[in-house]
Amino acid sequence: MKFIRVDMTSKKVRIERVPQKYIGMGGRGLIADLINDEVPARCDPLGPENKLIFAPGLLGGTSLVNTSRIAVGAKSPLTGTIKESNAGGTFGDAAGRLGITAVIIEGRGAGDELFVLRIDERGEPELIQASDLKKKRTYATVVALLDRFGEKNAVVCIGPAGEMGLRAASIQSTDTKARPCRAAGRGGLGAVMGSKQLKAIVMDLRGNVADTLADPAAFELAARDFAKAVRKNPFSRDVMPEFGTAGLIAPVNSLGGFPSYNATKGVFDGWEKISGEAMADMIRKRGGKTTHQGCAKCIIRCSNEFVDKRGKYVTSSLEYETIWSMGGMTGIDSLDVIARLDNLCDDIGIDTMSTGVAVAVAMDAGYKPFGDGAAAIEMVEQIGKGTDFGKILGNGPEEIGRHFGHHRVPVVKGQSISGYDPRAMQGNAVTYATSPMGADHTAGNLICEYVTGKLDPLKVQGQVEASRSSQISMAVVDSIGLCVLASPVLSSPEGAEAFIRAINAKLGSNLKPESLEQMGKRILSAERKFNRKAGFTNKDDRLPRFFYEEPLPPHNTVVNISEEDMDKTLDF
Amino acid sequence: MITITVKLFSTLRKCVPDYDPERGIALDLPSGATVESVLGQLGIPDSKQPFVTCQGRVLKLTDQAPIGGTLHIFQPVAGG
Repeated sequence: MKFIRVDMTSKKVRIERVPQKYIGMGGRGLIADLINDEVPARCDPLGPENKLIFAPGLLGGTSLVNTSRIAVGAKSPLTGTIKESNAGGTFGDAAGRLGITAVIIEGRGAGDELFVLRIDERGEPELIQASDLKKKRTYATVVALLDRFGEKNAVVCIGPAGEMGLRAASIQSTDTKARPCRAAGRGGLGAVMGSKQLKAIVMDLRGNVADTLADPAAFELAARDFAKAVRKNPFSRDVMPEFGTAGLIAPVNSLGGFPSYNATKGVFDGWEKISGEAMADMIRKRGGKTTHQGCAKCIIRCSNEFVDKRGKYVTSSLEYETIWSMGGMTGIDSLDVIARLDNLCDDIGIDTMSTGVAVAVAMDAGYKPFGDGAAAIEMVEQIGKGTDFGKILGNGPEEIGRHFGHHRVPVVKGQSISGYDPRAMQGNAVTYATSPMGADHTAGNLICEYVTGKLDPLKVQGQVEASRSSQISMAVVDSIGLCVLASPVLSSPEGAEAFIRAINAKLGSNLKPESLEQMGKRILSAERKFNRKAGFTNKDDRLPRFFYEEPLPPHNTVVNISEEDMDKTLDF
Repeated sequence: MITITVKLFSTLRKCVPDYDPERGIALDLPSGATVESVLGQLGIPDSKQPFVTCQGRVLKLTDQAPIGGTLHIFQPVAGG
């Protein structure tokens, strides 16, 4: 259990023992408390007072499957709120196996140098000058870093977008094949990393000093039972390995909730061409991989390797949210173009969701026609080149909407919605509006309740309660380091029971299901406390006007949740 | 008799030999046939936990299959 604290002002790096009050915490929950304790809420997100935190989940580095997420947190330059964005790959597991509770990057240097933080196999950190990596895109950055430090390393890094301080910049994380194709995409945390003049963290994969478990035998049993539950669940067993998250495209369109043409329609005209089924058929025909292990300790294998007509790698993994933002929202019905845009965003180090939505807003404003793939690629290339237009686009949909004077900008607290229209899925409207993170697809997504018929997506009744419950669960999941795609297992009795047993065996505690609920509420309250200090009020927990005024076909509904109900959601 | 069209998604496509994803399947059913009977006729097992939509709505197993309608049949999904 240790913090690695890196002061970019003095360039001093030190290892600290984790203070008692943070013991038993990880990921998003730890970030919520650390940011509250150490970051002045009204600070400039790109200034020296902000801190960038990398924290594996509480069970990161253990043998529990699908717990290799790395949570990244700071005050967001995109939303102005507290932000936790997490990524897959190998970094979170590597950090856990080195007994690292968090890496905290603070301060800011003078001049325009660039640095890399190297953490070796004993967990010893060193800050190294790396100005030769300036303006390098992420794939080339990783090649250069592994050449220098060896292949047995995990890397998190930024691309040109982060170096330029663009507010939609991502932090890219390497997968099991050392490709920077996993992203902590949301909230512009890449810009915070850039402001710290930190290009990358290179962490040794050979660590073997994970924190001790209170009851190792009980932990192994719980981990075995949890893995069994994951393997039994039809979602993680059948759908994910075959189609990945792209398997959502068909059902979401079928429910009329797939925001298309900049959220003016709920069904995309060419959805069968960009569905998970079409993608899988295409990849298989071309000799790519419809499934492989992209993240450490993953047994779900949702990841794919999309290849071009000649069988050459284009991107990994082509996912639902990117196909939606770069396809449905922009009217582009070519998976080849969407895959190219995905790779371009990863390489430049920019969020595919914010960027796709920003492109869609520009198209809706008349800048280019919907469906023009070449124009979309050219627009995103401009971000990488740092042209004036590219910088506006790279600052996200709100900035591009302002630039074009366009009213239809689907964001909450400056962050774009995800691929579920709030007018066709009223509970997701509640989550978008009230999440302390701004609109977000992992904060409390109710698609599972809708497709299984447990909740009518168009009715007001039950939505606030469902959003609240899901937001509480996700706060816990993101603190434990569990992948969101393994989290549906928690709704089965055996999965939930094994999960809590694993936490208790790790901590030597006697937590009950209600204790986890309390944990989730406490995290959300801490995040809201920070936002209050930063100047946010209930009035910020609202969607843009057009979601209340412009009906969405085919259901022709608007958001019907009252302001009073919105305000009750997280009022614990 | 009524006729409906069925489209299958995710791994359910494998439940019907030679399934054509573009055309789907045309089914002739007795009048008043339920969604559950459609699943039975197609041989889709409960273990796949199928759910069925028509015209943007999720149907219950006891709902009647809509005359001339197109049913979409999926497996459960969660967000990500």
